[in-house]
Amino acid sequence: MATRKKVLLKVIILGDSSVGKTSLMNQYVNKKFTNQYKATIGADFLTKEVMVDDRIVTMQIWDTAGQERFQSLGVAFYRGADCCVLVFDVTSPGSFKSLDGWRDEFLIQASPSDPDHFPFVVLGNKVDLDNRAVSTKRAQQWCQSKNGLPYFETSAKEAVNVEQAFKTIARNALAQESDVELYNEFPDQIKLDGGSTDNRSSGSDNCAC
Amino acid sequence: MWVNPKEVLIPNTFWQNEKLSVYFLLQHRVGHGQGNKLSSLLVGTFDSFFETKPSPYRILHQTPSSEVYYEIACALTESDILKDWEWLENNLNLNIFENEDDVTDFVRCKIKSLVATNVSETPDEDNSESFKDASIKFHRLFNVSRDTTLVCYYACSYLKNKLPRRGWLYLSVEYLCFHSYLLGIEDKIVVRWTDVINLDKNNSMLSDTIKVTTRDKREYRFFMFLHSSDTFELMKQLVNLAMKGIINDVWFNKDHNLLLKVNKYVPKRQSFVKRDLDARAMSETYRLLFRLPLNEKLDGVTNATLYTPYNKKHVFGQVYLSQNFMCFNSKTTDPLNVVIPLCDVSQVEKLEPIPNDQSFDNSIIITLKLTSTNEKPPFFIFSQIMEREFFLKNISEILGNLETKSISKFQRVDSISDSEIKLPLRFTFRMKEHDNSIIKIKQRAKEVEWDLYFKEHGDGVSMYKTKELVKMVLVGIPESLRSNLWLKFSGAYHDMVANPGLYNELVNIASTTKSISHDEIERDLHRSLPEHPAFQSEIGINALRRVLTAYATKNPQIGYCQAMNIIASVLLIYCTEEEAFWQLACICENMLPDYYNNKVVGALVDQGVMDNLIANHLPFIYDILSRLGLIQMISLSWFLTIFLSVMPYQSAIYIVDWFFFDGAKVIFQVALSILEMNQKRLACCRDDGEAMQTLCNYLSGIYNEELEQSELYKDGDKIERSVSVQELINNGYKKFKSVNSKNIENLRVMNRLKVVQSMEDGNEKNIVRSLVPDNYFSSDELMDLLKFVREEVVSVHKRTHVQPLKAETPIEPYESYRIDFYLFETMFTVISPLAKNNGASNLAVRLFKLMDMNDDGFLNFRELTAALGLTSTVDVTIRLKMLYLLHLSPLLSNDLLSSTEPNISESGAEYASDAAEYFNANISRGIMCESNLNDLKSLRSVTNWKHSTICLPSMSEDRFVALCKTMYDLIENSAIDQEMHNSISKISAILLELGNLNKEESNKSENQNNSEWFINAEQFVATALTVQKLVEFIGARANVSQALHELRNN
Repeated sequence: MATRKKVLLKVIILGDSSVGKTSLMNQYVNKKFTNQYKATIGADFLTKEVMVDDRIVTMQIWDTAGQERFQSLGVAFYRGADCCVLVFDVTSPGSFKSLDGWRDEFLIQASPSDPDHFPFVVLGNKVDLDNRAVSTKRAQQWCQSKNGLPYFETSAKEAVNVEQAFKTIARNALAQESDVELYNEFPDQIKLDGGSTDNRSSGSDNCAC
Repeated sequence: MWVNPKEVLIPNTFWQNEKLSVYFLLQHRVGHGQGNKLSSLLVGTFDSFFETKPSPYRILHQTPSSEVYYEIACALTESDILKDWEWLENNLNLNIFENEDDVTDFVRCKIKSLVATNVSETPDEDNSESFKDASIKFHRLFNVSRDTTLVCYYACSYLKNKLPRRGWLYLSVEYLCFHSYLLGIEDKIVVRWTDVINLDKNNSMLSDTIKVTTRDKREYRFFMFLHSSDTFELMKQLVNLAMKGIINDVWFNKDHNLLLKVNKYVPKRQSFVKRDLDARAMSETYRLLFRLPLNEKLDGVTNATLYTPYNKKHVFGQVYLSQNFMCFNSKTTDPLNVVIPLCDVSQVEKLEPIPNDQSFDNSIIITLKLTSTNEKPPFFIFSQIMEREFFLKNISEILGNLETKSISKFQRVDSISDSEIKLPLRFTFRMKEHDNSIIKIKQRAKEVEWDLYFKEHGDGVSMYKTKELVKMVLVGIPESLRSNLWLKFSGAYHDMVANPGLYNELVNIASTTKSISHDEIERDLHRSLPEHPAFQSEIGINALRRVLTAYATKNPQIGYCQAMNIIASVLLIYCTEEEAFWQLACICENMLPDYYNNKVVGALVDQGVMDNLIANHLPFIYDILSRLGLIQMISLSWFLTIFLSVMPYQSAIYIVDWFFFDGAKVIFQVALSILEMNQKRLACCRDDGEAMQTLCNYLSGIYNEELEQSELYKDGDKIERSVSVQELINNGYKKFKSVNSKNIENLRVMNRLKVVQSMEDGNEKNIVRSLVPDNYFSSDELMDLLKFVREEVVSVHKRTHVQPLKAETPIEPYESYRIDFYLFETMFTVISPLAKNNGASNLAVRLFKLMDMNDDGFLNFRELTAALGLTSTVDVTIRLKMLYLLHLSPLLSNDLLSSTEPNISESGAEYASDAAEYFNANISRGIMCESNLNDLKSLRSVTNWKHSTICLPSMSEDRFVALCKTMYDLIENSAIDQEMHNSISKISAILLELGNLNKEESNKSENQNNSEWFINAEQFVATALTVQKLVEFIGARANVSQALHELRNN
């Protein structure tokens, strides 16, 4: 076996509008926070190189639009994801309730090979605010009910827990990545619905065998 | 007979010249004598109307210096062709033109319009008769609903198993049908437009083939059309109507005003609907061309020349007339476009001929009302109007109608003073650029240039829009003129003027209401244009809130869509609130249709169009993007925010200037320009992420030459400059000129088909997925049921005029399919074993009432599957309980019980079809009192067997008798015999006895004597279960797919 090639991990951030998806991504990648972000239209995107367990990994982080009417557009972005980050705002119970919907939607659209064990990571953001409305216990219970998803309470503004959360995300995504390679032996399912037939080539050519 | 001008390269083979003039040539075909018998062939059946017969006479047009001849007329007899020749000599004055190209342009245009009028003038009572026959035949041949109307029919061939079958293609608003009967073999095809996923026309060796692909992946090929492109256009239009129907839940309705118009001016043609469709298509093109409000309908078009005072010339073109506007568009190589709102017109009169100047022949002069900015009223002179009297009559009629409507316009004054308080934000929040003297000088220079233009070409809505104007727009409109010109270019001005005070009213309504849209807006107010000081202050935020909530109130179907906030905030910098509001409305409804609706369909469609355009114009880049898997991914925010969210707004604003002037095609031109300029960079990218990053950096680095920006910032970071927006625009304008509105509209039709159908597919899958856990049907069966309902849903929509659902009411996917009683009964009858008898309607009505949880007279798809499942797939015990339940009060009212006639089934489906009405009638008769409704509610809760432990109420004797009767009815038609009959008698007897025991029991236990006969559900079920045959009969698992198959073929 030759030297290991660089690994590319695709991470999708989902969650209701204005829970802080863009801020979390920027806090992690650029180590900064500003309240000057525009609402994300369509999707946005950043990359970051990190070391995970002695491997250099490029994380490709996709930030999506939160408004419900953009949900069906996710298809193109979801495909080939290695990890999905579900974000809610601890001050907004509505955004917590939506997690179920986001998770289902992702599983349907991305149709991963093993939906029960696909790595999700849940982030309760904006813990710096006083008017908290979703308790840690409630959030943990939900995560437990979904096969024990990792849960982090973060503040993109004050950089609380962001680094740790993304480290877990990267590690879980990497585990998924090696799983995926096994499945790549099989030809892609032929999808007949329009607009989603593009074959993704990235990530599959990493195997040096 | 005039024919559409077509080029003839060698004019003299087989043809002999008869007459010659400077521009025209009359010929007859060698070997064809006079008085030939072919003429008889043109008379007679409709079929021959479409046949081509060689005409022995023709007229060609040619200019002395040109090699190209155009055939403009042909005829079967010499006298006919001479008539045309004379008309040419008497009516066409071609000396007024300066060059020969103009002559040819004029002649071709003129002949085309003659052809157009001639077609509509063909009286042909025969045709309309034969059309009626065809229409009758259409309904006889195909099992389609009665209210579907035939639009057109064509002879063509259908390719079946590689063998052509000759027959007729029938096109109606809802269906495409084909019928052929040849050598004893009949072929029938019925396809719903809503099921079509692709239409394609290609040129094969023999003839054009039209390929139709449907959702079930079937392909139909039709060929050997006489006019394949006409047929294809009509098919495209019909399928597009169907798609728009699905998007907006608004279905085709005949335009009855047009009907009046038909009677007034034009003889009836073969199909009214076809005419209606043609008129729609023409009005749409007209509205797009001149940016007119959505409800504007084209009245007529005629050729004319317009006198342009600024260069003292006559420009040849077409005059369009509609209820509120008169417009002119040049037909020469120099673009010229004028829009005259008829409410501004003060006078229309004939212009006396000017001696020695024929160019002013047949003129009318239109004078506008005096406005404050003009010393003398502006006027327009149209000349060479062939049917001047008719035209004048038309225009005065329209002006007459206008007078009565215009009273409301006078209120305009009030609202202006109100909105002027809210100045554009650029006055309150000045950017540092405003104090830069160089920028100031540049702006001033532009203003001077525009002032000059206004002086010569007018400055109002009705300015002459020439090609100089395009150039001035491309370099950016000066800040001070933006609001004014945006409004007038985009056409938002017309809506604003027509609805004075509406904005303030909407703001008031919005301020006192609450909705999901309002919450969504609130969350985005600070995330719209945070880099501008205006939106770091409450003044700007409040203005933005007012505009967005007012719009959500005006158009609840759109409500609020992210991206609108970004556009609105930029508009507010340059416009007053009211102006920004109308501008936003114009973008959402007119310029970027369906972009911001609840599934952003329009933007997805245009993304598809973009891909087509990239493939056509930049194949190299298309390959790169396909390789990277970036097709359909890069451009969504470009479209939704007109680039405002992806590049610095001070640069993107120049694109917005051009966008308001030239429409949606600008976005495509700029997008192509961006990709083209990044060709090399994209080619080096290894993956999609890198490519996205490359484009993203490039876009953030686009700067504005004029602002002297040496540094650019994004989110507080310094960004490297990439290219100036001026260069980008120029590149797009020059290199992608061929991208025009017509081109885009065509591509949109096909992409709309794809987007809508894949959305429908997704929706179907979601519905099935969400209903599988109910456990009534397997997912295949659900899909089958859904497909069947879906096929019917269009006609259901039409029959009941369901209000379009608001964007902000979140609904479950299955709620979008609503089934009326008529359809329910049909399905219930074929599927459920409980419905195999004469009294099934009775049961169906009660079952429908039970399952219609919100009492709206419709079952949603989930309620439908529950109703069907509970009576045909669940365990027999539950089915028996259902049977029991359907005989309880209030479902089986006392009234129905006492009447000897089974009143529903007797009066048939028509009566029952409006179940809601029936129930309402019952309520009004006082049968279903309040407490009964409550009972109904508790009965409904019982239908949810899985979670409910509620016991069913006991049943009285008379109801039990009805239940027994139902059971007898059940087996009445079945082959099951005497034995079964006896079994039912036996259990009835047992149950009667049980009831008596129950009565005695309860009397005993409560020491009373007034208890009635009763049995309970458990007793009924237990007894019924003892009869094996009955269990087998009632408990049979329904075969859904077979039942639906039978239903379809009936």
